[in-house]
Amino acid sequence: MEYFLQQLINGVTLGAIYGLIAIGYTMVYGIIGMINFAHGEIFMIGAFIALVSFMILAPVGGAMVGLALIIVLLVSMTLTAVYGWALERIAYRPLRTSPRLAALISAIGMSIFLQNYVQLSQGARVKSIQPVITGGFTLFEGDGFAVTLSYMQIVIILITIGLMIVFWGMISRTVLGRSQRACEQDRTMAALLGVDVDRTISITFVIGAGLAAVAGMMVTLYYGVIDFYVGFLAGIKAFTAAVLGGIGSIPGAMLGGLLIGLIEAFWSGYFTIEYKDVAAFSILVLVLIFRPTGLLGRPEVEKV
Amino acid sequence: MAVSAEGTHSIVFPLREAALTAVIAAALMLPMIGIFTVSRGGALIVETRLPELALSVLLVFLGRLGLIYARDGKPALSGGLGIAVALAGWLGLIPGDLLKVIAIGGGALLAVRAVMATDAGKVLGQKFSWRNGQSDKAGGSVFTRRGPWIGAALIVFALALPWLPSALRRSFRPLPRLLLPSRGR
Repeated sequence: MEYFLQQLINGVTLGAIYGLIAIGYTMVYGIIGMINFAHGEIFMIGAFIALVSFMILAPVGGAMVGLALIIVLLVSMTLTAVYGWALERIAYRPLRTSPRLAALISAIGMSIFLQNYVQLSQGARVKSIQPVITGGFTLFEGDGFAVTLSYMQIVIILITIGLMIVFWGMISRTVLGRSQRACEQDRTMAALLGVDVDRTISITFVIGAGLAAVAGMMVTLYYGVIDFYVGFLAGIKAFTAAVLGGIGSIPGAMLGGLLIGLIEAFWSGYFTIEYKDVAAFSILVLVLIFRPTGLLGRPEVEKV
Repeated sequence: MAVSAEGTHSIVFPLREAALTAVIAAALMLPMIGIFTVSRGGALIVETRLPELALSVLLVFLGRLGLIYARDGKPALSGGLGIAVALAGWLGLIPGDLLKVIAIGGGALLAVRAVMATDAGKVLGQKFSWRNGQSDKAGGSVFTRRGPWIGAALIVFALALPWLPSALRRSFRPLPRLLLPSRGR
């Protein structure tokens, strides 16, 4: 039971990170019907910006870890959001009226470009930092095994819950959220009704990049190791999470992320760590066979 | 000498737009090109590359300015900027291999864009454009009909790559030496 609880805590933490990245995929798909394959690299850039910010703040932030964390979070979110905005402006907006394949190729191209850009500018070697938040609670002990909940895991789960509440409020209660939902349903009609479609799409990319930056910062702090390739697998997993939950559905993205995180953690803990990705992707295949729209996705109805 | 409001606008507006682009580029490049982390003695430390950052931002500024001039029907200014940037890279005035290649390539593209902004270039562009919707009609567009020739031209370009400036290796090993194992093994 103790071991099970420990894997549950690990899985929820991992799932929170995947969920935050998956929201970026699902939001962009919901609005422009395109998979932004460069989103994993935006997450990686967020992780690098967080790393650089930490290194700059390290001499001054020793005594004030909390303040340093907030500053790093804000800097990372802001600068990564600029990357998200620029990505949409340069690579996707000019292709908005082109066939979908062109935008897809552009996304893959941007993904490779960003990977190489970071590899050239920051180096190909793995970057590792000392743990910033250490310690935690021992929840209980039994059979020589202690269930621990680290402060870092608490921070990750709390930040994710907080962001989800803010994000959900924004989508359901603000003018911007209403514009996003309108664009999701029918972009032409939304434009006719006075919604600035270009601006709404840009802001969607900005929000997605901001959330990916938070995930990037968490990965940097949680694992303490990043490299220019870290966005690829995390991006694929988050994309899987978005598809599993039902692409286009925001609660689905979070649910999918949580599921992928839990499957990975339990498979690694109870079976073999080498095949954890196989387990996650196999579940995806099974879900898609029996429910192609994902768990919370709605089937597309074509009106005649 | 008095400058009309329109004249002032035509001078200030492109500069302002290019400056805004440069500011965004600076925000994007600062944490990646301007500041970087290196491992020294097992510890990660931060170092800066501010001259490279400034130069990259300057290239973005000039590139954007050239594009605005081309868009606003001033191909001579745009082309001049493109050629100047490409020459600066070619003559080694820009440090660093990557920046040099970006300057030469970007400058050349800007010059081509300027040519496309001239009247003759516009006619040529329309003829070759895949956006003119003629490709589905009988006969297809010039682009579709001459596709094989354009493909052949691109193959020639690919084969010419080793002779371009900034190519790191210009000597060629004889083909048999590539195909046959060397004696030393």
